[in-house]
Amino acid sequence: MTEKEQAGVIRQVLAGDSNAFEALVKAHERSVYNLALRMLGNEQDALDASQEAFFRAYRSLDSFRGDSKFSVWLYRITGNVCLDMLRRAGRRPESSLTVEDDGEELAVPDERGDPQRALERKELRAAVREGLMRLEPPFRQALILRELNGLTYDEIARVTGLEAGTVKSRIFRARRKLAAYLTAGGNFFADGPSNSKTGEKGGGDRGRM
Amino acid sequence: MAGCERYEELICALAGGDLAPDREAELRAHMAGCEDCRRLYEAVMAASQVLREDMAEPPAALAEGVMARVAAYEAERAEARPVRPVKKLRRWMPLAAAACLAVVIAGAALPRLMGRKGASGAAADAAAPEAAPYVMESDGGEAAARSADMPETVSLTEGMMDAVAEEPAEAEEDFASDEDGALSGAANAEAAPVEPAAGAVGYTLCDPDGNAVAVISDREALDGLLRGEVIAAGPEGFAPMYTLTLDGVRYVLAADGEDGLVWWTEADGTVTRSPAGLDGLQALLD
Repeated sequence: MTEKEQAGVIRQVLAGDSNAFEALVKAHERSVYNLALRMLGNEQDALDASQEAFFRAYRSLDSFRGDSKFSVWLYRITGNVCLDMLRRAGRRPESSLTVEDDGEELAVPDERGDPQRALERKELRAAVREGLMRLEPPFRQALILRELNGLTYDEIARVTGLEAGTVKSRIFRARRKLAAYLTAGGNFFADGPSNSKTGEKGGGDRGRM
Repeated sequence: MAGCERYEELICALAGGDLAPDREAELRAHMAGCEDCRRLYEAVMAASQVLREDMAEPPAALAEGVMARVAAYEAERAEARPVRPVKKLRRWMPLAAAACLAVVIAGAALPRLMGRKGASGAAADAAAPEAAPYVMESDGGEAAARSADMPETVSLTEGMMDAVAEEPAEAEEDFASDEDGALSGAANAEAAPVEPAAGAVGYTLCDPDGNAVAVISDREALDGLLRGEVIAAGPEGFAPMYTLTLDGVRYVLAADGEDGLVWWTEADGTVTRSPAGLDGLQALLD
């Protein structure tokens, strides 16, 4: 849906056609849900947070002024919902980290003929998910918005209310920390066996940023 | 490796696809001779790729749950509004329907109807059933009337969308040139058919059975209504305004969020807002 089409739907909703809101939910549920899933680390919380975010968006739809993309506005709401949930839950990132690895699992078609590689890929994905959950939530949020939602640094600044420079530094630190987690955990096999130097480097600060 | 710190941020940006191309050559040259930096690059790139690709499909329960909450929220809000008038409507609206309910959409003429005095005599002539737009009385109690040069209004019971689409372009221009006057007229005369009472949250439009079909909650939608646009589809495309004739007296009905219903009677070609409200209409009908 283009921004213009969205604006039309929003007007329709504001004029009293609440059912029209479903089109907006459908258009953005995938990105909102995945943002929440990576922020919170499990499917149930992600579902709750996504629904809460969309509902909040519905209630405050008349305050959307169209000076940013509608999706960016939604991500801000979603981010706030997720950060609230994490605060309330009192920081327990390890909770149900493995739950989403049960069953589901998207197939990785191009590696089907190579079980070893597929396994590595799966391990890598699990390690990235886990490493992400070890970042402090605001760092995690910035990185997810950049990578998963594809926002620009300026848009992330608008979502988080931070300076663009702060966003840049957060994303850098999040990336470095996540990379360190991957190399230290042995989940990452880029170019042969890891050497001792890399192990030291990652091992020392494996944990929260 | 010592001295690599200055490269780290650039490497992370490069691997994440966020680095300006002119910095790339320098970095690649460094990485060619520095395994640590190369590994950092590879790891960031791998993580970045996973983050972009590792997308789950949202469960169907997501949208369903949102819409259920929206519906519950709207139902609660509707309940918070006064419901009495709607209930009363049910008592007499079947009667109204039997008495040849005509759905009139006043089209581009409506904005002029608000709080202005026109030529009453001409209006009387022009006020053929189902074709007359209505003029609201101003707060001072003076009845205003439509002027004879009003754009034609569209009268219909079905196919309203088509009729609206066919509205003459000149009517639109008429409206545009007249907009300021009409709207300021609305501002100083609460007589506008759908101008909210102070503090009203919006207008609830009712169908002939008295069921709420839509809520108009903002100024833009209100303006749309005044232009005669169908701003929300009700059952079978009912217009937001209705007229009905009982014992030779024409009534114009519009609903609002405050009383549930605003109505006017038409006498001698002039539409007058009833100060008596719904109870007055009820008494009249009894």
